[in-house]
Amino acid sequence: MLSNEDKQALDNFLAEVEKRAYRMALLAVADRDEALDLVQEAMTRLVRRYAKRPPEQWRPLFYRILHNLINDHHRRGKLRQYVRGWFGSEQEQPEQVQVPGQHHDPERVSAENQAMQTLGVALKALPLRQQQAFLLRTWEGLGVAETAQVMGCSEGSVKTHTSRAMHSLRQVLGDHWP
Amino acid sequence: MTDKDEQFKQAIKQQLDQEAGHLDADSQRELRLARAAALESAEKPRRGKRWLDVAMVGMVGGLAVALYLVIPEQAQLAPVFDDLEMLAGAEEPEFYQELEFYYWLEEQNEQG
Repeated sequence: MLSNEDKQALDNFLAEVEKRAYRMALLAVADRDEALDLVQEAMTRLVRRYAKRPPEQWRPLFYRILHNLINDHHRRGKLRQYVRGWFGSEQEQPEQVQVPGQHHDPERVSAENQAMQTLGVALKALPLRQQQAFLLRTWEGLGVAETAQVMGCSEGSVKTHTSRAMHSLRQVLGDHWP
Repeated sequence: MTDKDEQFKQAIKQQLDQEAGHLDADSQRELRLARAAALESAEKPRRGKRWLDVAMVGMVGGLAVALYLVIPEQAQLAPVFDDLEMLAGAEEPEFYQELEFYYWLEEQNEQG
């Protein structure tokens, strides 16, 4: 049973990471409801399994869980595609990334929203490992070692993925973006 | 990393922060609900865990007997029984997959 202080601390932590986690999941799975489910599942697993761990461990644990859930989602997707291909049914159409906060009135699309949209498309186009390494390092502010542990790869791989992501983003967005 | 790289990264971070700050009301509400549900789950006992444990122990027992009868004596049984021990343990299989990660976390904790 969690004490009220523990619960409050966890609530504060989850409130702090939830929007970024949702956005990362959305970029990775390109489906709003699925992204929300993954974030909720990651929150639930963190609370159930690791609430008693020191709070400074919550961030890498939470992102490790989310990272594993995203990878499982992709594995299931590949399996579904394989099974569909095997039985000769229609190919799944790639889903479009919805940019949060963006509404569908073209006249209201400002320069700011265009920059967001361009960035969203560029990030979505990155290979999953590059996207995750880049977002964990640049946006979430995790160190190289932490990111490597979250992603279950070497520190060298994290550096390579991040650097390749930077290179691709520069090519798409240009030096003077936004 | 050059200054230019750093500026580029900062611009992206700023843009992503701005975007997260302007998340639509529906998504924000759903995230709040997800958080509340997650916190509430700490209070609930895990359903189905007890029967799962019993089923797991039964299955592992059956498997052990089957292996004992089927595998020739000279075969090395120790690694098989190590795995059975893990299967029969109270920890979820994920725990064992994440062991290296936990060691790393503990190390970080001890360092500071």
